Amino acid sequence: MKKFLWNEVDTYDNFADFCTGMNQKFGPKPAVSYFDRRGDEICYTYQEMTDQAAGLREALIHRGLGGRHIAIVGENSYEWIVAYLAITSCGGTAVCIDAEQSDEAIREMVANADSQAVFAARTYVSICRPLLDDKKISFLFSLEKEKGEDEFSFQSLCQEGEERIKTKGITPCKVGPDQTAVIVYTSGTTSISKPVMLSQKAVLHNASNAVRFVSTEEKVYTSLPFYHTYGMTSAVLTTLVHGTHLYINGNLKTAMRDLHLAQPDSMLTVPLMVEAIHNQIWLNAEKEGKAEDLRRLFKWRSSLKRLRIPGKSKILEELRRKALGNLHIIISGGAHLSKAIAEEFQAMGVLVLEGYGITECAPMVAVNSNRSYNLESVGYVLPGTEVKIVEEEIWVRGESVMKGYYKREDLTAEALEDGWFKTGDLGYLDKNGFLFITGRKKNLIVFKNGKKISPEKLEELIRAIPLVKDVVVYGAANGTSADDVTLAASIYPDPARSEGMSSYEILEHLQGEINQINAALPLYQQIQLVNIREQEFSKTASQKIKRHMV
Amino acid sequence: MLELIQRIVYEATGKEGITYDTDFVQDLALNSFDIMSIVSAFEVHFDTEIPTRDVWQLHQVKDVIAYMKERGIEEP
Repeated sequence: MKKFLWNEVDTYDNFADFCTGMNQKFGPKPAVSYFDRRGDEICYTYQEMTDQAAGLREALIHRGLGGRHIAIVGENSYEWIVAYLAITSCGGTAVCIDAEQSDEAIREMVANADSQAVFAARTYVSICRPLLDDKKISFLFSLEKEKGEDEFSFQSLCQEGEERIKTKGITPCKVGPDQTAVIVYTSGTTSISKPVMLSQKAVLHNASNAVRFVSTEEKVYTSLPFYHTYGMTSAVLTTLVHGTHLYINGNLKTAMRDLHLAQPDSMLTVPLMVEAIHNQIWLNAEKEGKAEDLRRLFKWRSSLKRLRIPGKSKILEELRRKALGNLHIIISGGAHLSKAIAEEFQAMGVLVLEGYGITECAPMVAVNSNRSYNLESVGYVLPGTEVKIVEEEIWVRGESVMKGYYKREDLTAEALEDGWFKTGDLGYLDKNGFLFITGRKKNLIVFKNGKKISPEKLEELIRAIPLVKDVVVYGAANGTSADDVTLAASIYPDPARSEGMSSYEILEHLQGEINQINAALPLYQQIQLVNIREQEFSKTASQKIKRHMV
Repeated sequence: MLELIQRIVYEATGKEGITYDTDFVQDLALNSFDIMSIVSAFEVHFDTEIPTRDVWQLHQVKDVIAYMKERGIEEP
C-alpha cells in the first residue's frame, strides 16, 4: 500500500463517551444546520445538541426505556440525530427504519426488531399508531420540534429530561463497546429486509477510521438518508467526530436548493446526485448555446492532463463557482460513478472520491484519500478492517463487521465464516492496495442512488398475474455506467391464457396489471419497462431460470 | 395547466413533448431526483406543500392535474 499521512481524529468505544467528548471538545462550535421552507438557516451548536440528547436520554431512562430497542421513523432531521444519540448513549438500540417503505412494511420492521417505543416524524405518527393500539409498542413519541400538547413530543421530552438532570443529576448507565447500538435493515431486498446488528464500537470506529483517510474542511453537506448506515455513520458521525459543521437536508425536493444555500466545501452523496448536478451544468450550457465550447474545453483539459501539464482553467473555475459554489470535495458511494463524470468535475476543481461500503460492515470498507486516490478504484481498505479475496468475492473482517442478523441465526451463519463477512461483491486488490469492484455475486440490481433491489420478490408479485407463466426482473442497461439501469421485467405469457390475443393486447393487459403493482411500491422499486418473450426461459436442471441468458 | 407542467418539466429536466397520458417514469425515464425537482418547482409556483409520500402516487401528468384539482390548487 502507498504510504500517506493519516488525519488525526478521536476514537470512541461507546456513544456515552462520544456525546461527552463532543460536548467538551467542540461545545460552542456549530454542529448541525438545516434550512426551513423559506430557506432560513436553523443552527444548533455541539453544546445544544449534546444537551438535548442528554435530556432526551434522561426522559427515556425515566420511562424504563434505557437499554431498550427504540425505532426511529422519519426523514432526515436534526431531531432524528438527537433521538439516535439519546437512544445509543443510554445503551439502547436505535432501530433505523427506511421511511420510503410502505406503511405495512414500516410497521413490520418496527415490530420485527422488538422495538418498545417509536420516534416518528409527523407523517409517520398515524402510520405507527396501530402498533401502539395493538400493544406492540409501549410509547409513540413525535419527532416534531414544536412543544406538543401532550408529554410525547420531542421538545417536551428534552425539556423534561433537562429539568430532571438539573434537580437529580445524570442517571449513570453502563454502556459497553460490544452492546448493539443499532439495528439497520439492509436495502437489499423488497421483501422483509435483513436486520443488521452493529455494536457501539463497530459504528464509532468506522466513523473515525473514515476520517483518517478523508479530509473535509469546515462545512459538510449531505442529503443521504440517515436510516441507512452510509448516511448516519459515514456522513453524520464522521462529521461530528471531527467537530465539523454539518448541513443536512431531509427532502430531495430541496436538496439542490440547500446545497446552494449551505455553500459547503465537502459533500457526501450518491452518483445520482452527482449526475443530476452534472446534467444541470450541461443543460444550462446548452440553453446558453455554450455546450460546444464547453465540450472543447473539457477535451483540451483532458489532453493537458494526459501530458501531465498542470494548471487551472479560469472558465471552468467560474463554472464550478456558479454551479457548486465553494464545493471542492465530493465523496460518492452506494453505487458506481462513471469515471468520465469524475474527470469533468476534477477539471472544474472538484475532487470526487469514491468509497465502498455495505450495511453489514457499518458500512465503510474502503475509501479513497484526498492525498492518494485512483478514480477507478473505491480506495484503500480502512484501518481496523481486513479484506481478502476468495474466488473473486470480497470478504471483510474487523472491528466494524456486524454482530449478526437480529433473530436470524440461519442467515448469520450463511453470511459469516470465522469472523469474515462474505459481501457478495466481486473485486480485487492491486499492488498499491487499491480495491476495485468488478461485479456482484448476488442477484442484486443496484441503482445510481445506491438503492438495491433483489429481483425475486418483484418476480413473485408479477408471477401472481394470471396471464404470466414466468418472469425475470433485471436491470436493463441504460447508459455507459454499470449502475445506470432501468428496472425491467421480461415476461413469458401463459400460452393457454393468451391464446387468441395479439402481442399488443397481451402487452396492454400486462402493463395495466403492472401499473397496479407499481402503485403500491416506492418509486425505485417500480417496473419501468415490460417486454414479452415468445419462448420460455432457459432453465437449469433444477428448473431455475438462467438469469444471465435473459 | 398542461402548458405549465410542460414548462416546469422542461426547465427541470430538459424533456419535451409531454401529454396528459405521459408517465414520468416509464415514458420520460425520470429518476427520483428529477421528479422531486419538478415537484419542488410546483410547490414554488403554487405556494403549497406536496408531502413526499403523496408524490409517489403521481405517475402520469393527468394524476398531477387531478391531485391539484382535488386540493383546490389553481393557477395563481
